[in-house]
Amino acid sequence: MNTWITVTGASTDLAPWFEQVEVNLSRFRPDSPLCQLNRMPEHWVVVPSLLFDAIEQGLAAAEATGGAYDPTILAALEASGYSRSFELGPSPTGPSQPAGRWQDVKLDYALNAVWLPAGVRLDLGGIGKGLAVDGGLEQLTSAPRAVINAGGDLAVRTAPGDGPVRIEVAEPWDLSRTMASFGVYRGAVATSSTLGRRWGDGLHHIIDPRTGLPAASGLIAATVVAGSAAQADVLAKACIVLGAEKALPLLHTYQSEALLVTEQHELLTTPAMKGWLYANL
Amino acid sequence: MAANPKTQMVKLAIGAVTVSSVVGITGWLWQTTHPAEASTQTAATGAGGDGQIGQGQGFTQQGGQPPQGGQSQPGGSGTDGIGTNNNGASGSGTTTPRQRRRQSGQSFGSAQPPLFADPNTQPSQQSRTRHS
Repeated sequence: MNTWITVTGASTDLAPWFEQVEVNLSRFRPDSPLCQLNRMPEHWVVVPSLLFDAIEQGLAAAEATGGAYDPTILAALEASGYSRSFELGPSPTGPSQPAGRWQDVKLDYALNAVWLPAGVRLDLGGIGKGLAVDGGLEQLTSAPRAVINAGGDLAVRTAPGDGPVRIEVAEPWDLSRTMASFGVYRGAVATSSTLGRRWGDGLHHIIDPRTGLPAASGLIAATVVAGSAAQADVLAKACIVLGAEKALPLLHTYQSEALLVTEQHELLTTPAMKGWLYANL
Repeated sequence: MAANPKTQMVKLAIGAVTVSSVVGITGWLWQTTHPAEASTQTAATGAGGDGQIGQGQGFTQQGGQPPQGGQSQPGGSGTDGIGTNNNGASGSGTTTPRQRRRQSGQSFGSAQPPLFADPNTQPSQQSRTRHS
């Protein structure tokens, strides 16, 4: 995941779990079950449970967001130049390719089998880290309180009587500075930004599945507080794709709150979120 | 529209952004017709009998479906195998595809909502989210 993962409050070693997620869901490992699946369109392919569940949740997220998040986006990502791990640099870009074929992916729940249409390949990067964090927290069954932070995607659980966990949100243009902070007893937070992984003017890793082009909604960053890290992860990306106005109903539907930053460096919040922010950052 | 606080974004810098009315998301459950299901049922029940599945080709698993390297136990680096079913067409029996509904795993919308703290409450620890 190219991510530092911090687990606080539990002694269980979660490294094997995160390694398992990486091994199964990475699109940069040719031998990963995801890559093998992507090489076999128009076949029913039995996949490991972890991958099956991730695809299932990815498709559910696509439906929930009206396609603003879309796991069938891999071809579009590659066409935009994000065809290998980011630290290796961008590859040449090709013509933009809209995604939008998530409704054509079929699942067999009895057999853990997946069927991809011709020309469709999956990328679970937009939800995988969140699923990893959620799964990690689930595994910490003996820990009454725990925080897992995977490069900014984090989940919190506290015990009765505990104080809240203070969450600081970094400024998108200066990660060393804090833009806002709030406290949670339970929940998950994820942040997406168009400034994080860029390889040219207007080229960044958050692709609008509907156009195949980098999202240009007027938002440069979105921090979402949701019930699960996977939800927060998906909703943060959906906010960037949809823009503030269209994202608000979606956030409301999933009882999530958000901090949004516009290209003009304005900070927008959902109505309730404003009341949860610490005054002293 | 502005009378409903749930339809407004709060702009902390200048002014306010007014948004359109809340549009409900019509659930996430989805249904799909699964062509291989009919073949699977044919194989299991024998109904129809003369389909490809009934001739024993069944569900071919390349790569081994019991996992290679263990069932992904903590500490192991192995992964489950994957396999393909090339008999995607239904057998010629009496079974018909039926609608299936999402039934496993945690749904996208089923998590408990976050529980925020009053800003006057002293936190016991802190964490940080940054932009990725």
